[in-house]
Amino acid sequence: MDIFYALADPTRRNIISELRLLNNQSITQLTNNQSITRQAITKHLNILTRVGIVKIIWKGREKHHSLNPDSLKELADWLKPYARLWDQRLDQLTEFLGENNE
Amino acid sequence: MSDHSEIIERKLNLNSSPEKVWQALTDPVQLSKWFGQTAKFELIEGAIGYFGWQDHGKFAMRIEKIIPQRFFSWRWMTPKDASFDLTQSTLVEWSLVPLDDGGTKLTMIESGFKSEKSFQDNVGGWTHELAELVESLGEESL
Repeated sequence: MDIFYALADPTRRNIISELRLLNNQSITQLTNNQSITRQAITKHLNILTRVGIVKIIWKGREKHHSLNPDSLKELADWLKPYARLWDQRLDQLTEFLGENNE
Repeated sequence: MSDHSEIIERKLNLNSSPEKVWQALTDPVQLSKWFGQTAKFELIEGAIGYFGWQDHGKFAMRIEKIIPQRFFSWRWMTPKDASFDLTQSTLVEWSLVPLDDGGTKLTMIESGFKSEKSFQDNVGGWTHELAELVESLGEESL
């Protein structure tokens, strides 16, 4: 399962946005902010945890969900529009060099 | 004046020889075939020139370092159509390493971004970007 699959769901994106506003929430807290069931939230959190966007931290005996800044940074880096310009330019270089004529 | 710590780094393994890649990077006529539409500079350290795009304008640049066939760097302006000003430029460094098969490992690093805004060009943050990206990839529902 890759990170883009995990992001391809509006509920999961909402969870990410929610955790960006207020990080380290329990399932109960997250369920209160969404109009879907606790069971559905759990399913989504499992996916987000599997791809490394969310990690579990313990506050006493309570399980909290925290955004993993490294995975987001990697993703944000990929997404930065200016950085994508370089990908386009390097594609053009590769074409110019005739590398695609194999 | 402190630099933003972000850099952009890209690496490519190319089939073309280092000589061929070097020409594509350092000959303004060749460069302007894949990087902008016009490029004007002399291949001398310290020389001022520009890169031009029909849609975006002209960006003044200064050649920084030349190690023939191996390393080439320039500084170029972030704002368009302005004369070269070190404090408003970023540094682009190219390094070429020959590969055993005759090809070239090319590395590009851009650095010296002065602000998050000049780096991202989108202060709205990445969440909006994520949504757009994912929609363009095609959503899957569970």
